[in-house]
Amino acid sequence: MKNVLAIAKNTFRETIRDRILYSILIFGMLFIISTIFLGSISLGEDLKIIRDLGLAGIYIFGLIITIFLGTSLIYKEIEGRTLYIVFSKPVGAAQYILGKFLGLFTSVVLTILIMSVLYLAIVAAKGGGFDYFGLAAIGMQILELAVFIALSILFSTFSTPLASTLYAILLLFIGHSLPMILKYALKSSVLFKYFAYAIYYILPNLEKFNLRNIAVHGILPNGLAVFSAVAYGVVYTIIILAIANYSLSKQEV
Amino acid sequence: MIIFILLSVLVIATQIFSDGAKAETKKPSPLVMPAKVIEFVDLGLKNAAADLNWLASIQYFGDWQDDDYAKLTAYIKATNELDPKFSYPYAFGAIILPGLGKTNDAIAIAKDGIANSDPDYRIPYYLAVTYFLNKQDYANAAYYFDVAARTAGAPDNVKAISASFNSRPDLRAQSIAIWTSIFENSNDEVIQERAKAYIIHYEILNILEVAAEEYKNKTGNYPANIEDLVTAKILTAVPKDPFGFTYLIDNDGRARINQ
Repeated sequence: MKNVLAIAKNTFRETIRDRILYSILIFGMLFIISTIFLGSISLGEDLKIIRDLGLAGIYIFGLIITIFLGTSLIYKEIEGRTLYIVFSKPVGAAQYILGKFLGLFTSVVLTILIMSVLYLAIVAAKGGGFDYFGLAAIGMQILELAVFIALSILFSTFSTPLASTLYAILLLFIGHSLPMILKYALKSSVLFKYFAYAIYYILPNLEKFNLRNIAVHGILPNGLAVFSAVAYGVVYTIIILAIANYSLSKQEV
Repeated sequence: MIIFILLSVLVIATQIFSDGAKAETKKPSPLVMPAKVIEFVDLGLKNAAADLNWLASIQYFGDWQDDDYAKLTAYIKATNELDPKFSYPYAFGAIILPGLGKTNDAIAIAKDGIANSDPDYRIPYYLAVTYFLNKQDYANAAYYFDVAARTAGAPDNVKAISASFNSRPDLRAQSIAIWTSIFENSNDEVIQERAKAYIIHYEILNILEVAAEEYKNKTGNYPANIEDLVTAKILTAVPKDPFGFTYLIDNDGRARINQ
């Protein structure tokens, strides 16, 4: 555990020092501030616009930071051979992967929290009070990003940053379209239906973590739905990290 | 340095020229992306996509259009397909579309909103106004005024109008009361402008009827046309209708729009 925490701390420091992270974060905050202007031209629906676009902004910029940092995290250490130095010490691949995950996860959560504080302040200033529902949506969003961090780490163990970014973006679109794909597949041929079922259960269903659309209308799913989404996220992340561990172990280090 | 200045002047000149050329060309009717297409690419951000579509609808409505606002219904429907609980576009459609000759679209949109959106008294209220003013369907108007009054958050004057609607002592007085309540309860400048225009329109009709009675007391007959009231120095000028209509006084002394 000591090794995991040491790697996590080091990864956190490394990611926090990245200037591009700050640029993305600043753009994210500017976007959230700009929702005030967009709300002002919405014919009286300011609060709804601010909440919808604010939550969307936190999500998108959180994703950009995740994909940008995660897809090069291990790859650059493999290419730079600095990974040899790490494995020359008594550090297993699993500890390394977990440490990297925790370090990057902490960085991403910190940036999400900064954007969230700004978002909550703007909503409160506009008369929306403390946005508990928005906070719940952000919580589930963090879990979704945990899945994405795990995927980015997996891709970075065997792929270049550019290719990893493309895989991540592809999975992002598919992950949010899975319920729709399944719905249309049920009306199609048997072969396509089973294919759709296969990808529905294998690929990450990111819509499970999406509370943004209902939170703005003051609705949250029941406890069982939330529990099952959390369990899904945690188990899926563990599986992806296990695959990343296997992939890294197979590298010629 | 001189070349730099000349190039900068050239850039500004071409910009001015292209802006001028753009103003003269007809604006093409915009493409309204169907909601199903947007859903495939919105990354689950349906509400945000609906909001952006709503902002585009407002820009479309607020800008001069060569297509007689043919796409406004499509814009509103796409917004609400993405976010069925977003109440204001339904209400906006219910009150604005009849003025563009799309009363049936307004009714369909409003009924959809009553079934699907977050509780918002404005949707049934504006639907009732549409039935009352555009369809002269007083039964449906009374029904939807009642639905509006029973919706959480309905202001007291809306409840009062609903309660008094069935007695209908005077439809014009009812209309003025309805539009006054819409003006007072709306934060939307577009809707407030429309409400103000209707109030002025009905007040002008009242003024003309009072003037017509005064003319009859003086001359024994109602005026043949509105200009006679000016000639008789009862009015200083012919009132200007906010919708551009002209008026006449009928044989019973009632002021009407000259169709």
